[in-house]
Order: sequence, then C-alpha cells, then structure tokens
Amino acid sequence: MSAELVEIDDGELIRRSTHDPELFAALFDRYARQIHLYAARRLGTQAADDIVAETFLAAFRRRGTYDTSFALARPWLYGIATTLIARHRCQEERLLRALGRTGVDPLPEALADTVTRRVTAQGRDRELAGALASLPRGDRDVLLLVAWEDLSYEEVARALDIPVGTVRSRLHRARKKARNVLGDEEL
Amino acid sequence: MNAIKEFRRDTPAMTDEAADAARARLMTAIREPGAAPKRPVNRATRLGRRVAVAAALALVVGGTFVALSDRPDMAPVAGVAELGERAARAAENDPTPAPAPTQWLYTKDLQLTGVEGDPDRDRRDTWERWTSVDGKRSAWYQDGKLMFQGSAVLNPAGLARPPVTPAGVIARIKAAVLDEDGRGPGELNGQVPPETLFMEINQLISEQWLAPGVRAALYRALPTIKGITVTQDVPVADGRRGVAFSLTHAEARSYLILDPETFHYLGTNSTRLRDRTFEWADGSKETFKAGTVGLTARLDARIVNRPGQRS
Repeated sequence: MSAELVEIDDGELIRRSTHDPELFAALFDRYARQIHLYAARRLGTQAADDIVAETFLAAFRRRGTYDTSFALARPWLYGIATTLIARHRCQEERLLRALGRTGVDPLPEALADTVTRRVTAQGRDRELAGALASLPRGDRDVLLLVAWEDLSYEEVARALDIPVGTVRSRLHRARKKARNVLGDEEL
Repeated sequence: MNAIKEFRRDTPAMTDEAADAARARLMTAIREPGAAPKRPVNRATRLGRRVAVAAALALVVGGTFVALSDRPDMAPVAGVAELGERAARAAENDPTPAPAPTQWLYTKDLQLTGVEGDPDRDRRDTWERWTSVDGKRSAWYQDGKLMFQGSAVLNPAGLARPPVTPAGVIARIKAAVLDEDGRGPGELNGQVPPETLFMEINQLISEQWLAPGVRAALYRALPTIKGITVTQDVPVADGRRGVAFSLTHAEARSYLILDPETFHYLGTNSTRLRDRTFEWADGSKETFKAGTVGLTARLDARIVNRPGQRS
C-alpha cells in the first residue's frame, strides 16, 4: 500500500475507487485477515477462504451503495461476511453441537492438516458450544460480532442493517442464555 | 463475556496462499468487469457451481452418430454395460506404476464454448491444472502466479477403502454429495439426481488420480445410473471422436467420451437444453442459454513431483 493510501480512510478509498477501481484492493489488505479469522472461528478455515473471497467480490460490486461518510468500512464488510456465513447456518450449528456433545471440535481444519485444534475442549467450551448452537442465528451474529470482533452496538446495527435497539435486545437474550449454561460467570 | 471471547481463540490465521487466491479473484473482478473469474471451485461453493458449470457446458452433439464408421477394424461397443466393462478392464490393466502420495496429477485440456453448430465461435482456451494425488489440493496459474486451494469433495482414499465395488462407490459419492448439500444449498431433499452423480463421476475421472480399482469401479457404476446410455462417435474439443457415456435430462445433454480403442479419457461434450440463470454465492448472476455448447479435450495428463511442473 502506498504511503498516500495509508492516510486515506475507508470511505474516501471507496469513493475514489469509483474512478480508480484498483484502489479497492487496499480494503482487502486492511481487512481480509480479520474477516477470515471471524469466518474461520465460525465455520473452519476452508469455508473461510471462500467467504473472504466472496465478501470482497460482493463488496466491490456493491461499492456504489456504500455511504462514504462512514470512515470505517469494517462493519459493512462484517455484515457482508455474516450474510455469507448465514448460508452455512446448518453446518455451523452441527459443528457446535458436535463439540458440545463430544468435546472434540470438528471445525474443518487448515490444509496443513494440523491437529492441534482438535484438542479436547474444557467442559465450559462444550457447554458454550451447545448454547451457541441453540441460539437463533440473528442472536448469535450479534453476540459473536460484539464478543469476538469488538464491534460497537452501532457498528453491529450498521453491519446487520437492524436498529440499535434490536442489537441490544438480541445481545441481552444471547448473554442470558449463555449465562444460564455457564452459571454465574461474568458475561 | 470472557468465556465467549476465549472460545476457539486459537483458530489458525488465513494462510498466505488463501489470501493470494482471494486477492487474485478480487483483482480479476476489478480489472475485467463482467468476466467470470475462471477458477476451480472451493469446497464450500463447489457443489452449486459445479452443477451449474457442468450443466451449462453440457456435452452434446446434435446430429446423427455414425457408429465408428472411420474405424472399420473396431467392433463398436454394443451397449453401455459393455462400455463400462471395457473401460473398467482398461483401467485395471493400466501398467502405469502408482504415484507417491506427495506427487501431483498435471492435466491440460482444450476448452471450447459457443453455440450449437459453431462451438468455437465464442471462446477457445487451454486449461492447466494440478491436483495432488491425495486429492487434498489443487493448483492453477492465474496472472502468472500459482494459486492453490483445497480440492475434492470426495476423498480418493475414502473411495479406495475396501471393499471397492460399483454400488459401494456410488453410495460413497451420494453420501458426500448429500453431506455437501446439507452444509450449503440444502436443495436435494436427500435425493441425488442421476445428472449430479454423472457429473461427480465425470469430475473424478477427468481431474483426479485414482487407484485402478476405483477407476474401474466408477466405470462399472456408470451403466447402473438411471438414464445413462452409450453414444458412438462423439467429438471432443480438438476434433477427435470417441465412444461416450451419455445422459440427457431436462437441462442438458452430456457426454463423457473415451477413446474407442484404449478406453482412456478423451474429453467431454455437452449442450444446454434450457436457459438457466445461476446465482453464485457472491450475488453475481450468470445466464447460460439453451443451445450453449461446451467441449473439452484432454491434451496432456501426467504425474509430476510439484505443482507448476509440466514434465
């Protein structure tokens, strides 16, 4: 990335990419790995490879609809990725249920075939996996965007295109459910 | 929130290979607006896209077939079961030594797409691909750079697990297809249609190194699939002609073509019979018109030590 691009915020980058499309690649360099980690945590690394590629293809095609007054494109990109992840909802829940049941995380592995992740999970993770699997998808999306990706309520609202009040109520519900299975641990 | 924050925190980071491949796809879209990035399809999107592309490039051949008229010395196969059996025996008798699991299958194909009667009007290109012998990875060149991704839905080692039988390989393929469908589109309702089965077998035969017994079982399995028949004298993309397993369904007519003497894989030929628009996972759409023809021809296939090697 050139020194000049480093100075430009995402909104301005997207605006300029209307006339200079190659600038859009800088957005990939800024966020691809974060988005990948988020998708991989939900669906495994192989599915995440696809989701990242498709997120940026979709974002590029839709860049004309981006409100460039928002300096950070991160919530927008997480929103696209979350929509793509939703297509794999059954798989995500199946993986979580399997972890809850067996204590072994079947998350599809990286091509390197590392087995280090398949360690037996602690009891707490097993219970948590079961709880996450049983959440409505919208609640799970909100919970994970806040807990894993540190998005603010306003950012989650923008990512998922829902009112901030809905973010709060979904998060409240999701936390309550997680608290029920994990006991009185701080949530 | 700490328990949730810690959950799967050790998930591995994106590999450089995956990042390069994803970025290359973006750059293709940026530089060639409207161009469908040509690529093998990743595991997660593979099923849907493959159904579409194979159906779109449905092999075909309008017209009359003259039974091997230019080869008077060859007795044409009498039926699809005989074709399956002869192809299976050729696979079993293949003297080529088995490659090492670390080696790769290099394949080079000529591809033609166009409209019926004028197949190379629109596009003619060659397509090189490397598939690891263990079936776990594939590679191709894009913009001069070697790209990698995970490969087969079907694990070749799983197919080779004894007992290897025609019914058994079909059952394993169906199970894999349904598993894939359950993770993604969920549109099969527990049934694998003959055209999907045909396509999966077609793909294995054309793209993957297979143990002779597995390849033979696949050839013997083809005649057992509803609707598959034999068609003589079907052309592949470079003008050679062969004997084909063929399947016609509502969407497309497809041929998997073998050399009429050696029964080695020659190529494919397909024609779409009905317009269809496919929506890819990225939201883009692509329409394949009725009458669209796609032919391929195998130009080279060999075992190499590393992806990117051609000899």
